[in-house]
Amino acid sequence: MNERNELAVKQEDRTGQPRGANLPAIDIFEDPTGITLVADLPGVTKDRLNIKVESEVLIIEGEASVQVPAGVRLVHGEMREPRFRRTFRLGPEFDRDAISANLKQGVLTLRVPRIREAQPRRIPVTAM
Amino acid sequence: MANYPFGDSGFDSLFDAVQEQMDQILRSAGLPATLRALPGGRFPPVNVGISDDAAIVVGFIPGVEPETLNVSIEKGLLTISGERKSPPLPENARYYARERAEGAFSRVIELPGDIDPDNVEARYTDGCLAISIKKKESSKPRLIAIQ
Repeated sequence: MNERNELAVKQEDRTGQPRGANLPAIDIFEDPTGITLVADLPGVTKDRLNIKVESEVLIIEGEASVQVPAGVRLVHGEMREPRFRRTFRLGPEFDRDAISANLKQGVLTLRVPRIREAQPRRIPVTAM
Repeated sequence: MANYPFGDSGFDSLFDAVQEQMDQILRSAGLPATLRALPGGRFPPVNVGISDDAAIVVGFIPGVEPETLNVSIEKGLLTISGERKSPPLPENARYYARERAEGAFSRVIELPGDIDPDNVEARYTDGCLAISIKKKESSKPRLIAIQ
């Protein structure tokens, strides 16, 4: 009886046309070795999450799916669109090949390290 | 006689649209749009669906431990409450953006009158809390046999 049935979408919207997407809420913090990006993606599973870097742009895309019994009609919807999408411009000082991602309970944590040369370095001063 | 259609005048959605626009403008300026910096002004967003035999409420609450969520039904009102904590900021780090809701939250949803408050099931998966409340046996649609 339980099947994947998107409660997050209005029936009449399911036309297969490209639609708008939710802008997920994010936190970003930076430390000397890189930046950490935390995004709220409720209902998104690992296989429905797509993270990519195209030229200088980091793209996060995901689609929420909530398991409910068949035959449910939406009567009140604050999350009308199951798709999430947000893009960020990455500066050249970030190492796009070393980005790591972790998804837990609908929260994505992305770690974008700085390229080693771009990290602040302390130059040792030696006394002669 | 029909009930007065509260909250269905179109004004609500008009105000929502204005609020949303304000949020967007403020957010693009890097400012938190509301006091707690919640996108859309409320957390968690909730969807309500009904089927022939149940009402299903989905709360989009990513990143909480399921055992810290409180779900209760009283007098036809469903209350979802809990608290979401952010991990402490690492040393030498600073925030560039803080949009995610943090702290205690509570949402109250009015349920249809024909539900059975003793027949409730709640499940938390992938950051979504799905609560299924069965309708009373007597209110389920049935076919009347014609004799």
